[in-house]
Amino acid sequence: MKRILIIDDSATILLSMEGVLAKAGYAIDKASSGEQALTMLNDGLRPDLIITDLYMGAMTGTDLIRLARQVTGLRFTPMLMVTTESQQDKRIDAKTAGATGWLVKPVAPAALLQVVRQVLPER
Amino acid sequence: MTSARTAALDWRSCAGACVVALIAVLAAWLGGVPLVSSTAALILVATMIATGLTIAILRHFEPARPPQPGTVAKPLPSAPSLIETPNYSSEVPSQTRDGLAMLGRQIDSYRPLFNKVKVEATAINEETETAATGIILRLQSVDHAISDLLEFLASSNSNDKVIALIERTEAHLDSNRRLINDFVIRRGNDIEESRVRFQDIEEVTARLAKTIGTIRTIARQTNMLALNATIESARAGDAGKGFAVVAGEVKLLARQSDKAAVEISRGLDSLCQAIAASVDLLIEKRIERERSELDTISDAIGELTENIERLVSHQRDVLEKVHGESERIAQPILQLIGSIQFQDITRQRLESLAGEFDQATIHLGLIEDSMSDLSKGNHVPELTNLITLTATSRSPVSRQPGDLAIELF
Repeated sequence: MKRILIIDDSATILLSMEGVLAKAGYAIDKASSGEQALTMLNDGLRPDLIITDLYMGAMTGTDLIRLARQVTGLRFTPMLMVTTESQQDKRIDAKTAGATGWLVKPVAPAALLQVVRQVLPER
Repeated sequence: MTSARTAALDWRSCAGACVVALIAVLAAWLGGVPLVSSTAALILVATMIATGLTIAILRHFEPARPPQPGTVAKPLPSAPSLIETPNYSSEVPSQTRDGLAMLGRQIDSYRPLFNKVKVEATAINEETETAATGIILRLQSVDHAISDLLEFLASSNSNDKVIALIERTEAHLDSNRRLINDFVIRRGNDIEESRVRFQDIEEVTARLAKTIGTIRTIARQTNMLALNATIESARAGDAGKGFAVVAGEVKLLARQSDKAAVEISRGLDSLCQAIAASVDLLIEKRIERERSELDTISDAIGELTENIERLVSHQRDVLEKVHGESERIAQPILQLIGSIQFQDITRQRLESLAGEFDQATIHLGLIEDSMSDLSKGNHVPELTNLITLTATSRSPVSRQPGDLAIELF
């Protein structure tokens, strides 16, 4: 079973995405901040996919992706940014940091699952 | 333009406005404009002066020009927590000080309003997040119940179990039906065997009848011999008298033998008739009744089997319907769970508004500082435009036409 780490400071988003992805058969880990997610990754969590919000307090999703890419075993792990932000410069920042893709909220369940299956093709 | 120059211009504007107001009143008075009273005239003058002051202050605080390329906006100083009563300089006219104090109080009244807006926005965020979380949890609860039902229907093979149970029942019913048929056949064989045995009895009876006929023939011949012996004994005279007695006894025995043979024959006939009657009454009719009853049982079993098949078919339809309806309900629930994301977007918009109100509060504090400096006759620094400040705050939903909702790099 593929494991997905979701990071968002909104409990609503965490529950919503967990509901959609868990129903599709994925194992879900959740974090409410970039710092918490980075701690989980440094403690050994190795998800098959990371989905993160952009604005989450001190550490942004772009910061998290940049730091997570330096964690052993996560160099090629797909990392998606899911945010309300749509500005092109923010997208470029995320891409430079190592993001795999950019999704603008709200993301329809079918679209979310399609993207997840696209970046996890071996499932 | 420097602040000092601006202030000078503002005071010139103020003075000009006051002069214009006085001239207007004087001209109206001299021109015969029917003013109600001198008090009304004074109120009008005061209003005009206040208007002039307001225009002067507004011109002083009018939005700054856009920053020139290469310039950096000044960092925001921290806003005072409370409005302090300005220590107005005695060099500033008292009317100006009063006007500035009044405007300061007006500006200060916005602070609790902005704070209330921020508190309300935070409360709305918390309430909607709590409600959205509750909705998602309830939807997930419903979804889990449906999933459990579908999983039960799919993995527990309840339909197959019922079918297997019914198949076993049908096997039992078939077994019973075969037992009944075997019983009927066995009963038929018993009847046939009984008939064969009766035929054996009839054959034995027929042989006995022949033997009886032989006995009767022998009795008649013996009687004839006894008659001849009687005749011959009569011819012999006295010497034959004893022989005549023997001949008479033989004749009597022959008649008794014949009579006994006749009675035996009649008894055999009665016996045959009785046996035939038993076969008819006790076997055939009884077997017929049993066959009828067994047929009734067999029909009942057949009807039971058909009912079970109808039950299986109905149950299969029900299960398919439940499965289809469950799938139909599960999809909208998933859509609803996904659509709750609107709460996060609303939250970010409200947080953005609260941030802008924070900026406005800080800006009001700066205006108050400037007014205080103004009342003291001090230098008033140029302020950054509020719109410029709020434009740097986080944009909640800034998706532009043409922006991709999903983009894979």
